Amino acid sequence: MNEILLGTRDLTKQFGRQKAVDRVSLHIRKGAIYGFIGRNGAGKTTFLRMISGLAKPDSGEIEMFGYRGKELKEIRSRVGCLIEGPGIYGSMTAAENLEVKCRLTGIRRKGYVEELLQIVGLSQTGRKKAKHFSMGMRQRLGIALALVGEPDLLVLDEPINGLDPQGIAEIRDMVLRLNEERNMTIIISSHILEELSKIATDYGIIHQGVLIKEMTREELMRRCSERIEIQLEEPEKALPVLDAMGFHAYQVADKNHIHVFERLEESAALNMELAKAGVAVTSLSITSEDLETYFLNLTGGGQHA
Amino acid sequence: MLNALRMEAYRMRKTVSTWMVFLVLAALTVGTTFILRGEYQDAGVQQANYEYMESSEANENQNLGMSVTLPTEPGHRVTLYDFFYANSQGKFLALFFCIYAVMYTGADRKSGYIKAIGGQVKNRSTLVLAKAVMLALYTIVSMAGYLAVQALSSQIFFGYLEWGPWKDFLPYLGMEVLLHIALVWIVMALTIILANNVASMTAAILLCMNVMTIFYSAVTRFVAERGPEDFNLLRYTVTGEISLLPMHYAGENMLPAVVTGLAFCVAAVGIGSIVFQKRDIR
Repeated sequence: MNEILLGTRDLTKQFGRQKAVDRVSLHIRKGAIYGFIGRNGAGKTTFLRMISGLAKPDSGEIEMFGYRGKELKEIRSRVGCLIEGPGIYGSMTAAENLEVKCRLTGIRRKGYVEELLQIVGLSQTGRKKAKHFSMGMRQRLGIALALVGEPDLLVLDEPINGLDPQGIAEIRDMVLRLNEERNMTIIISSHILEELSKIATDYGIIHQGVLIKEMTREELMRRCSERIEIQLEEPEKALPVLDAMGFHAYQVADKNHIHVFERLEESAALNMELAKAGVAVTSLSITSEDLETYFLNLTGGGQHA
Repeated sequence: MLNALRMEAYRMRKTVSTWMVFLVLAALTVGTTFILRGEYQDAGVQQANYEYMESSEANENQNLGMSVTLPTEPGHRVTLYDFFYANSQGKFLALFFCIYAVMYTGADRKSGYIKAIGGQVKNRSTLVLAKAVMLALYTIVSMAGYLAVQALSSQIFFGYLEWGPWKDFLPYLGMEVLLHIALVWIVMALTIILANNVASMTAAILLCMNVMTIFYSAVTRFVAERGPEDFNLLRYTVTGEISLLPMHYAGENMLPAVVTGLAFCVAAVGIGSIVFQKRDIR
């Protein structure tokens, strides 16, 4: 799962003087579930609209399935998207909504629509018009529409917005099944981090149009997990002490911090050894950071608390 | 393109407004035929209507607003051609086709469905072309349906069905079909460009009510004072040709109307396609 399916280089979109997306360069691996995180107005939807072919970038490049520039129109049919809420014809049933798109994509296979309805859990809707659907049902129909044509890349823009916990769980399970059973690459944007953390394999964090961080799930978990946090002047002097004590899972976070992810119960002993070695430690504590705090710190949200 | 046509055909068939607009047109056709019967039986009214139609044709005028006036000569039977002429010249038919064009064209944007398909087609112009083809088909079928309802109403309320002179009726019918398709495509393009159903519907209704007469008259006067005295801008517009097309053709009258209709057809679809292609889908 290391092949890059979608990459952008300095992708930019401006509305008037405001840069909604500012030189975003990211990479999405084939088969990944990419969690695209950002606050409201961060630029997530604008970015996703560009890669879905609904908006043209002002500058920068998109490469998808090995195609770029004007060649992209050849592979647009391999992308399915649900952007800013489901767009459905309220006076039609779920099946009829799917039939409309099936005709456009040239799909005539018998039972195809019923299969899609089965996947998203709408096979019992019968002749009920879409305008009478609940929010969760509308979202699922929107996902079904995105699945028409068996896309290789599925773009879901805040698909769990407005859903109750059961609806969120259903969407989550559906996304995981699509990824596992069909090896579908999925980009899913949200500001509900806890939900994303349950399914995403990779993350991109966008703030005020700028991509500030890209990381794998393992990296994110490592950053948020419980650890010994050592604040000190010269981290390089502490490293021999850590090695001598047999610590392996540690990380020099920045020029004043070392994070140690193992043997947290030995923090006192570690402190004593550092002092014996003449390492000036400003503070030493056991700490952890939940996703929300980590995100808020990254995006400067903590200062507004 | 074929797939886009199949999609639009399915959507048109499944859309309630497709049938509702025609049903209202049919009901009003029956109702207006009943009302016109009363007018026809009044000799004074019939004479006034006939003179009004004669003078309008001679002066090449188009009044602001809508009016449907039977052109039947006093003492003659009202023909199906008379009815068709009155309703097309008065833009009674055009009003319904334009209302439907706005609803049909704007439906995928208004519902948001366009987001599910707009990014996946190779060339967005095919979506506009497919809409144009289906709207043309709707216009033709609805006109045929109207003629059937009108023929039936004539038989019921007037007690007879006279078709009128075929050598005049058929060319006139063909021309009006072309001009109504051109008008519907103009409204389609307006709906795409304005991206607002209320504004588009208002513009469409005002077009059918000859509101552009104000502008056309000003331009005509300006040009006539400086150039050819017989210049009339109405003759180069679709709404003008719909109103001014004479019932009884001399062969040379057809060409300007055909050229005007075709030119606006091409311009409307072309501009609509370019705007839709270039603009971001919201």
